[in-house]
Amino acid sequence: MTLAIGTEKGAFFLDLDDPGSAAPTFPGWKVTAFGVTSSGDRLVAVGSNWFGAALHRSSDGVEWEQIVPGPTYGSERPVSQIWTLTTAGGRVYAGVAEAGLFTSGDDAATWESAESLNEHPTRPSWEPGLGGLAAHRVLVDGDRIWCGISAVGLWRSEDAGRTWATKNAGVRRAFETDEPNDISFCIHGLTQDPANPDHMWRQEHTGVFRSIDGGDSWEACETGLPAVFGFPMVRDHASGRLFIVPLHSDEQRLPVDGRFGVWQSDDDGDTWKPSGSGWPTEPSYDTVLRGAMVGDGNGRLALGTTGGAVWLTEDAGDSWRRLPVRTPRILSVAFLPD
Amino acid sequence: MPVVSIPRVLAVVTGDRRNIEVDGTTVRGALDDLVRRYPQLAVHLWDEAGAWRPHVVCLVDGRVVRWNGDEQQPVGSDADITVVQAVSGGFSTWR
Repeated sequence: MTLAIGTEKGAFFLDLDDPGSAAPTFPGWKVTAFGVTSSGDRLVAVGSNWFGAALHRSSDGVEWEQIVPGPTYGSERPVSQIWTLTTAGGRVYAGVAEAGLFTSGDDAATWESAESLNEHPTRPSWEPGLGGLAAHRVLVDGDRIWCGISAVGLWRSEDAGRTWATKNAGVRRAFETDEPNDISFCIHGLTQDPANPDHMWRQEHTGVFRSIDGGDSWEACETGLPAVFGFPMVRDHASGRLFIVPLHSDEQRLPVDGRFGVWQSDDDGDTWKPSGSGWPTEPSYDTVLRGAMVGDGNGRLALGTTGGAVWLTEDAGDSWRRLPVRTPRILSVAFLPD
Repeated sequence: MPVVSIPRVLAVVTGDRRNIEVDGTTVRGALDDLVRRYPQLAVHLWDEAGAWRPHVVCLVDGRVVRWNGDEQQPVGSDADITVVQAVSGGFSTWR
């Protein structure tokens, strides 16, 4: 297993036995997402303030080939960043900015726009968040697909992407609006129980919420948290634990009182507590972006910080350790099979 | 043949070649031949509308061509066409 770290200045593929030896791949490029195709090829999404976004693939992790064309609207609407890559059921899904979902049925060789979502009648009312108008979270369970778009909200398709409906009932809106549609929500993180996909959790701009009906309805679940703002959300499926990184308000976006670390819930979000041991004892003001925490589903989680630190647990959060590596600002993290 | 020089970060799609001989008697013709040889470069040079990306600059024999729009200007067989990232564009609201 390789721990892939996507930074502002390249990708670092860490050997967990020798993490400090990694040199950047794609030096100078923002590395915004990782993925694995159905056939096992690695995918890396890169971007540049100068040269736009692109998607690369590799069968051996050494030689890379840019996929041409990558996800594109075929119009003047830009694909400025590829935010997330998900593979399920023989298809690869890419969530991008300007917000949209693309899918590939041929192992990421060619891409098609999910028109019914990307050209939804409400699109003229979609508004960007600070990070842009982005589709950045995608979950798949058979023909059901969930797509989180900021600052629009969560969408669900029941028919493999042919039609879409918003799923934000019970969630606090990101801002006051007279918008008549079920949009204007700023979703940051999203996870679910793969054994029971109706059980979902979301880290929202406005708080932490859960659903037991696949997103049809949501309730806040924030007991014990020092703050309800944050970005990433991961579930360790073996233990059932949930993990988030609370930050002091959308105005500050800092660890509360300089207490950097992950918080976890062992009871499906009923209550939250600091996760395990190993965190800095001195004040630390690192933060974790929405794509920068990941789990392998079997007790191992990793996160990367805006300060270029990488943290790892291999016992579902009982203990954490910082790896001996310092990278540029971390945008994305993934476990990739060797 | 004209030579197109590209930034190091774009050489990731050209097998690390930064100076590429191309065919063409105009700026546009030379660049079209460049992306025929390396189709991956097109998305990095031009936006979805086919215009130069805002922070990419093209020079022919040291003179900027992107702002006069004259990509049809002739180029000699020894022309030096250089693509550079402008001294701008370093900031974005990235996440």
